[in-house]
Amino acid sequence: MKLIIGLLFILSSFTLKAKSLIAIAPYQIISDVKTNDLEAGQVRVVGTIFSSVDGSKINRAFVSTLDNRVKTFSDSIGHYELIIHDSDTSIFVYVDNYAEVALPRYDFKTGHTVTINFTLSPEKTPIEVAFKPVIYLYSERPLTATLNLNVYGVLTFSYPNYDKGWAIRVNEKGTLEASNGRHYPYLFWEGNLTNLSASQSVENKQGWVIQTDSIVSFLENQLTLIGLNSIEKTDLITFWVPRILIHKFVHIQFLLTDAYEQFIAELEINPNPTALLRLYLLFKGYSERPTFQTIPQSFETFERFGFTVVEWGGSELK
Amino acid sequence: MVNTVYAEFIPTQIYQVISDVKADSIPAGMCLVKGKVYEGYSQNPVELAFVGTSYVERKYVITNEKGEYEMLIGASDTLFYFYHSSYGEILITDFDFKSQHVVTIDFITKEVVEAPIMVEKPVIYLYGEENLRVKVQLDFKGDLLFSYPSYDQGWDCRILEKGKIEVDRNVYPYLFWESKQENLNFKLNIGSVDGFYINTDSTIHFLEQKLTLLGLNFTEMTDFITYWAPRMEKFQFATVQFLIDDSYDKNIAGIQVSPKPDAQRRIFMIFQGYDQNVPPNFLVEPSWLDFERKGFTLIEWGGAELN
Repeated sequence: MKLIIGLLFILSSFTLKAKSLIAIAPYQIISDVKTNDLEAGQVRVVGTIFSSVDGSKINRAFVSTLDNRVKTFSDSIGHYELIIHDSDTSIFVYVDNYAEVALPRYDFKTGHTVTINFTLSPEKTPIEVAFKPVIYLYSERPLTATLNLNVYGVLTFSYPNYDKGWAIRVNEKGTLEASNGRHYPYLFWEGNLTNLSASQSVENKQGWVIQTDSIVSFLENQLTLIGLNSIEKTDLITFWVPRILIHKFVHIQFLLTDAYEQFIAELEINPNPTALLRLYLLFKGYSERPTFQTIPQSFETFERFGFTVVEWGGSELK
Repeated sequence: MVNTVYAEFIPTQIYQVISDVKADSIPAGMCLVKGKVYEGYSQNPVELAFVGTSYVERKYVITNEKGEYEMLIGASDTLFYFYHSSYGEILITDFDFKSQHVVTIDFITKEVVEAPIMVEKPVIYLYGEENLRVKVQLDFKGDLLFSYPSYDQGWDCRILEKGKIEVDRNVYPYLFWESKQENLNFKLNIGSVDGFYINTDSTIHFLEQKLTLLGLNFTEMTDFITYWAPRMEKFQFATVQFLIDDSYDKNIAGIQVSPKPDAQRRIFMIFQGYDQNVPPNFLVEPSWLDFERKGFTLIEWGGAELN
């Protein structure tokens, strides 16, 4: 590494903006004083670990030097104490569910006691993203349909734009025409789901564990059994398989119409479709074959007649 | 984590004035600025970067493969900058450039590891007379990761009604492939870059407008927009470039189709998203040749997100 010294520098406005986003300083040097009870080369570091949420003190936070040579845990009142060497420069603090904080470079002086408080911020809570639910509508006779969607979570994207509902003309050929005159092959939405973990969907171990090199034939078989047509199947497979192939194994599960309604999103269609299939794919990736047993799901084959509505979407569970 | 913390404390994204000397060979009222751009850690040169006095008036030069640049500017100029889509920008403000001087200024950037970029979801639609048999072969510039139906030295297709495609007795709406590619980035022309800078609030409108100009139909456009718009809207701003036809062949994948299509359009979108508003004003809106569907028509679109 090249050390650049003695130069004039200006951070771009871009960098300055990015820096100013830090609202709470993650650490604070309270004091740094000479004390007499330490041996040469020793430095005492003490302080308290706080939560940025409510200012409460964090118990059992892991506190260490850069090389992990000296480490401790905070006690029940968030207090910690370490005796480090004056050549150490960094202190790390970590506890589950919070983002790690590091004091990166500090000039610790021999025989000093330094008081440093840390404030940890929670890691972002995972939200399951409902990817690419698409809704196809088919009718042998042209008709006008309205659809109202009630997502368990937040609708983040829709196309055509969902504005308190979709009103759409269904043509014989399965194309959809909006009032703006544009045609669409399907209605599309995406959302952040908050209800999915409550479904216990993957925990209940229904579904299959699949080695991903056979995922294409697995999906082709299952989706054919469930009753998707060749276009719907291709749309689903080309969207999900590249995401599934990142893993060596997946536990995969389908939520069908009623479960979809219960955990993902309610869908109200007027007029009532004579045939409705909603299919939601859930999967979780594993680098090794998971040891738990799964209970394969079975479904009645979906029959299309009259005004038919098919929807599919999915989420990867982390 | 450890490396990241340390990295912040090595000064990069800075400039360094190496020398500033009088030279009678420079015309009065002018100043020659030269130097090089390199990464602070690896000292690798940064090529194809913009260096100059103004985006708006397009007064800039592009660094060569050694990261070097040289440019004659007015002695009254005070602003000088560096910009590269991967490395960001470095600004010099209020610099006193003097008449008949040669100033050597180096720009020292952060380190950027160029990870391979995903070439996502190219899909190929075929339209033509029912029962027309078509062979499609691609010359991928990256490594093929997934194809559907499976690409085995090509796709042997039969066109069915309504643009459906039969391969091995199965029916598909399109042919799909995906790859991973090294060195994928915005394509620069000398002196300008084709592209657009958008506020992603207008993503859908923007894509509908551009894709209509490029000749996509409603189905293709919906497939494109529903794939890419949610990705672009994760950011507040984005730079967007389209590689069309020859540029697609050259940079993403060559294509051989037998029989030869009567009309063919291939569209590849490269985008980079930003949360801050940093408009690269050197972008020039491209002009595209009109596209007309006739007879046996092939349409392909794909894209990549730069990070």
